[in-house]
Amino acid sequence: MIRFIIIFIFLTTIINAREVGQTEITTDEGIEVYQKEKYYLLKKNVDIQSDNFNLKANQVKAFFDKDLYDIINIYSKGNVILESKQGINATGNEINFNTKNENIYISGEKSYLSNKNIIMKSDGSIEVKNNSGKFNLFGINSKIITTDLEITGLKIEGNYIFINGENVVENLNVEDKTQIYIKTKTLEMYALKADYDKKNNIIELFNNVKIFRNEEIITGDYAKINTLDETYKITSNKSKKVKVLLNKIND
Amino acid sequence: MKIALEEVISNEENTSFDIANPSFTINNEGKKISVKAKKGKFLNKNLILLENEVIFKSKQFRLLTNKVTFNQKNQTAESKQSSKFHSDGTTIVSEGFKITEHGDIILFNGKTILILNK
Repeated sequence: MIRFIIIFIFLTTIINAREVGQTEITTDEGIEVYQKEKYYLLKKNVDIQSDNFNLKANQVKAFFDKDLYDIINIYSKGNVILESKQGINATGNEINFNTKNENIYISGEKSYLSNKNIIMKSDGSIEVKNNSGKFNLFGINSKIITTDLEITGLKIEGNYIFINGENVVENLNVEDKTQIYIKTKTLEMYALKADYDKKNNIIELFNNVKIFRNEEIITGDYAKINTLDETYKITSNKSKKVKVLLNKIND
Repeated sequence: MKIALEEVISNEENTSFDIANPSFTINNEGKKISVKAKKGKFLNKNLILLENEVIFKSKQFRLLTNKVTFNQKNQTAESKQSSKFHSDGTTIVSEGFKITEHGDIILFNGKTILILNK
């Protein structure tokens, strides 16, 4: 039997650390490239390592512009973990990440995003436009925690700005059908709706307002709180009465 | 990461072949993909087994492997061997691939590494 010496190119990979400027993507079950539609599907245990961000997920749909290297948007689902080199950490069932402007949309239970000192949580969705600082949380257990504030509600929207190495919430609107909750250093507040304005140092509370400070409980329909000295004015629409409960402190 | 091509010489049992240096074209709207190999063997009327240095080449990409089943009629191709894909700023190494829709859809199978350079 005649034997031929077959020379063929055997493809091997020499795996070193990722070089600067490169994006390295690994998957367990391959890639589907759709040239016409300009996207590719990365399947099972996807791991993306790049200069600007790292992402892990069960499945990823990457949309590209000029060619495969030019990723403009990444939609990931299944145990998604995103770490941006700009300080954003996000986890969730589904994350849509625009690689150009770093806009992020997270959805599903236990959605989580932190950006330096701001933490956002929701069992619905979290959307952050990183360039403008606009954010939007919707769904049960939606919560924002900052250095000074803790806010819980069904719908939270507002924006933050970057000052002295920290992200500071500039303004905020919170709504809930049952109850919103705001906690500052000395106050705990409940209402159906609240507006926060950092520039004027004001929190306004609307409907079913309750304010707790130490042993003092004040209820009414509207409250205006000065966040600098944490003084407040509270009014009641229907009864024209404001209820104040003072609990005795046992020394 | 660096991806290197390593030339390997191996002795393999001779299999008969029907075509030496077979060459085909997958026609797509406005773009063509040429398919070349060292050997080709007709499996049936439409299916051809392409072996040794099989290259798919278009203006957009180049795809190399060692063994491919090419369907002349449907203009599809499938490989279960290691393959390496190159396009502008992109390298993909996989454990096989499937080309369908006249080259518009390429499925890379198994554990896959994608390196983007731009």
